[in-house]
Formats: sequence, C-alpha cells, structure tokens
Amino acid sequence: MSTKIIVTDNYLWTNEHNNVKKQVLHRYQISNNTATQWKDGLKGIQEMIADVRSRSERLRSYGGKWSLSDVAICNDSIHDSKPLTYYGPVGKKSIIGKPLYKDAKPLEKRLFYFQSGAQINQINRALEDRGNCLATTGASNGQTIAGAISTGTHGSALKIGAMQDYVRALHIVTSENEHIIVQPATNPIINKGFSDIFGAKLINDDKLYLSTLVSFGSFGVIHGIILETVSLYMLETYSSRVDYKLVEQVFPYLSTFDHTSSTNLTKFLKQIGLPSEEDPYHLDIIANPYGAANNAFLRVMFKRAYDKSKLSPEPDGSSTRVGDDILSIIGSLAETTDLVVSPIVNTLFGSVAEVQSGYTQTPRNIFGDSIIYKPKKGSASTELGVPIAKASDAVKLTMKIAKKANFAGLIGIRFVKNSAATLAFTRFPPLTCTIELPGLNSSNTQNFYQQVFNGMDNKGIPFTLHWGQQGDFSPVRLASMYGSAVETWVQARKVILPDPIQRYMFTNDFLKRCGISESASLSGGAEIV
Amino acid sequence: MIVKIQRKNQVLWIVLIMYCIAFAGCSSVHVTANQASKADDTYEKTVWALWWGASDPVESVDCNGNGLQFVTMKTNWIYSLCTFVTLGAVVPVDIEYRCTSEPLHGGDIIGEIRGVKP
Repeated sequence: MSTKIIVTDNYLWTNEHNNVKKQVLHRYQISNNTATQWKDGLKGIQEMIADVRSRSERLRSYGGKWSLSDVAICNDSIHDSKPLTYYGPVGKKSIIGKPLYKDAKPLEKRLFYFQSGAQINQINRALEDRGNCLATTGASNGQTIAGAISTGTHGSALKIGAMQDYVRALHIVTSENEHIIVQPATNPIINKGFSDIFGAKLINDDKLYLSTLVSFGSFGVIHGIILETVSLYMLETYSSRVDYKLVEQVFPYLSTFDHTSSTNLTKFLKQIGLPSEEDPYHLDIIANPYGAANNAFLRVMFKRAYDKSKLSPEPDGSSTRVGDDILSIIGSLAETTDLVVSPIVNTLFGSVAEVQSGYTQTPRNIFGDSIIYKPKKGSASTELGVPIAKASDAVKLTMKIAKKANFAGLIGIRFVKNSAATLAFTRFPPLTCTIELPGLNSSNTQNFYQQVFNGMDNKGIPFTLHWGQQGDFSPVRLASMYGSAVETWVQARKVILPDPIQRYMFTNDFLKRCGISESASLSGGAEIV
Repeated sequence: MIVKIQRKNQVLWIVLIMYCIAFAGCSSVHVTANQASKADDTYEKTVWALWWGASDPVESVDCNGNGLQFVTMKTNWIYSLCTFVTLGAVVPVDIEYRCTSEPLHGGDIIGEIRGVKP
C-alpha cells in the first residue's frame, strides 16, 4: 500500500454539529505527494477501494462533516477526503463547451479542476487570489466541495441555483481498476484529451451526469470536480428588521419570477425602503415564530463589480456577520431552555446579524466562518424545499406549528433557482423556497419536524428535504418528493456501477432507509401448498 | 411573617447558587483562526496549572507543519471548586484543539499541452 495512506482502526466519527456519531472499522486518509500533484491521491483511492473490497466492506467518502444526518457515513470503512487538496486551471485546448454564465473573462480563465477535499474557505481564498470566485455557496464555508455538491448545498442567489449547478464534470473512482469523468452530452465541457491525462474513461451522458451530481457518495469516490467559476464580485448588503406581514408581500413577486428579467422585485424593494433599481443577487429572510412585531429579518445583497477601493473592512470573526449561518446562531442557545423557549428565541432573534446598510465585501467575507457550538445533545436541523407558489402558505403553516410545538429555533427562508440534477431538493421551477428549521436536538424538535411534514401533507403542499439535514427519508416519502426521478437515479447508478459488489460497497444505512440501496428484492414464488 | 420572608430568601439564595454552579460548566474560551480549513481530528485533554504559575502546562501539538484551526479552554464547577479549595494552587482546565488541514496546492494548467480534439 502507498505510504501516503494512513488507516486508523476503530475510529469514532462525529459530525461537526455533534448529533451523529458512528464507531467505524477503518478510516482512510490519503494524501498527495506535492511533486506528483494529484497522482498519488488518485492512486491512493484506487488502492483503498481494493483494500476495502478485499474485506467485503462498505466504503463512504466524507468531507467537512457538515451534514446533520448519517448521509455521508457508513459503519465499515470511511474516507476522509480533506487531505486531497490539489487544484489547477483547465487548459484552453481541453475545453470544448460553452460557458454557463456571461462573464467578462473567457471560460479558460474561469474553469478549474478541484480535488474533492478542497474546503470552501480554501477555494474562496485560492479563487480570490486569481480574481475569481464561486457563483454561490452556502451560508458557511466549512464544507468540502464534493460534500457540498453531493448533498445539494445552496445559498439564496436567485438566478444561480445550488452549488451543483455550476459543476461541469465529475471525476469519480468507481473501482480499483476504473475511474470516470462524467459530463453532460449537451454542452460537454472537456475533450477526451483531458480525461486521458488522468487515465479516466470519459462519459458524455445527460441522465448519468445529472444523477451523479447529487448522489451523496453513492456512485463511488469523487476524486475531482470541474467547476465553472465567475469573475470576482462584491456583494453590497442591506438588512432590516420588519414585520413578517410586510416581508411576506415578496411571495407574489417571487411566484412569477422571470430569470431573464432584472426587475422582478423592484416594486417590493421600494415598498420596504431598500435600493430598488434592480433585482438583488441574493435575498433571504429569518423569521421569529414568537415575535408579533419586527419578527422578520430581511437581507438583500446586490452584485457589484469588484473594486478594492469600495470594500468595507473585513469582518473580525467575532462579530455576527450579515451572511451568518442560522444554525450557528441557534447553537448559542443554552441547553436548558425547554421551559423558557419563547423569551429565549426572542432574545436570540435580537442578536441575529446587525442591521446593515451598504456593507460591501467579497462573497468569501460575506459567507465566511460559522462558530459551531456543540451542545451535548447536538444541534438539529431540517430543511424543506417547496414550490415558490406554495411558499407563503408553507411558511405560515410552519410558523403556526413552531409556536404551538414550542420549537426552540428560528426559521430561515431562502430562494433558489431550480436545479436540473435528478435528486436536487431545489427542483421546483422557477424558484424553490427553502425553509430551514435549525434548533437544538431534542425529542421536542424532532416531533416538531414531523408535525411540519404532516401539516404540509394535510394542506397538499408538495415538498422535498435537504439531503444533508434531518427528516423523513423513507421510500414512501422519497416517492412523493421525487416521483420517477428516484428510479432514474437508481438505474443511472446501475450503469455507473454495473457490478452488484460495487453498489454494495457504496451503500450505507441512509441509502437503505431511503430504499435505494443495493439489496436483493423479494422474489414471489408459486403458491405454497 | 418575618420568618416566612427569611425562609423565602433562603430558598431564593439556594436556587441562585445552584443555578450559578450548574451554569459554571458552560464557561469556555474559544480562539479560532479566521477562514482556516480544518483537519479531521479534534483533540481533548485536561491540563493542570500548579503552584500559582510555578508549573504551568506547556502543550506541544503536531500539526504536520500546519497551524491550529481552533483552541478552546473549558472549565466547570468541579474545577472551580478545586481551585477554590486549593487557594489557586491547582487549576485544572480542559483544552480542545484542532489543526488546520493541508493547504490547497495549485498546479499547472491541466490539459494545455496534451489536449487533443475529441
């Protein structure tokens, strides 16, 4: 075995939010050799797969441990992808596709290959040094690129989509002898010469590509990802505390959102008293279910061309930022608050990011660090995706149930352009409204989540669930969330992983609960007399 | 009447003291490096500062040449009591830390020379 592989036996794995713990048999950490760039990392993954296969174990690759469910973990062998940190620009001679985004820079200056372990904060910094950045990210920066994409991580950039939507190709190691670069047949991005450099098989196929995008490590070990980035920009941010009744007036404008227009929300912004010349790049709301007045925190951000002289001072890391992850705010709740939930949540809501007007920074500093509090019982969060036309009803219902259920948390509401990925939870056009419910991990919180799901069912509001958060991922729920897309994904997995042993290897308990794992189906026989 | 008020005050004092003791376990200090990537493992241990600074603990951390992503110092009511009883001669503190991960390694342009037509 390569000397760059470290195996830790009987490893206790805990996620960042301290609510998932697993005792696993082996943890693999594979590093590159700087001299050979990515080669040792790729070879190491293949050696690891051979090793795991020889013991007939399952294998799961994980990244920043950011997910609140066991989606990224299995009981047997796990792979810490974080040491795989090579990246490089994709050469002009290898590029055959057209860009996704209009940009002043040509595509060859914006297309990068990142190994799977690159963390968002590392990518942000590396890209910023080159005058580029990611088109959108989540609110925090602790995920790895592969982990973020594989679970459908999103921000609230209205016309961009989720993070998987700027992926142009995925490089996946499917067995000890084979690795593939999969890209769409429609507007593929790289030629065979590029995949030959890695020794990978090139697959151009829309269905396979869209299925692999959000697949939580089920198609093999992701070695690298080709991303289309954009020229570095700044976000000019405005935020204000207003009554939810006022904020909810945004929903009708969002319901008819036209991605080609730049004035979808200008009337609404004018009503609120915010700059209203054009649509914001980003808009999100944090709602407090317990407050009667000023119970919503509205944040809008406008995209501006990068101009160093117009940057506001960088945040110092200790203050609450305008782009803060809501879960990090919730984490500051003490653990003994069950009896006094409403005053505590009201107080907490008061400490949500300061009201700002015109604070301008690059996305790296707007969506920066989140302090992860680790309450003993862990944090909890679920996130629903609902069609924008039903969003107003869905939020109202959630707020009502939250109050009744004494939910110790806030409600985060964001808006994401629909994604074409087969199992993207942001699948509703033209915008998916995401309703995030971060709170403390307790039976009360879990009961509240179930009540929300039941409430949506009773009201006939269709919804999906964020793969990296908690929720009902039963086969019945999956069928109601994704319909025939589930079968499309399962079939795509069989094409990418034709050997049942491969599919077994990349299966975990989460997949089994979803009913999309590789397990023998019951075969009915003749009547037994 | 006066006795009742005194008893009520006593109960209040006891509740207040219990509350303070219970929440002493929450005391912690976090030092985090801004926008630093994280390695996988977090390490925790209890260190002892002894004899009023004459024997303070010195911890050596091997991060493979990388820095520390965060350091947390925590105390609890037992530690506080220990410090109180020993008049500050024994000060136990729980520390927790994590290294930063490998930095990103930027390489040459991939496929610039070897790129061929499909």
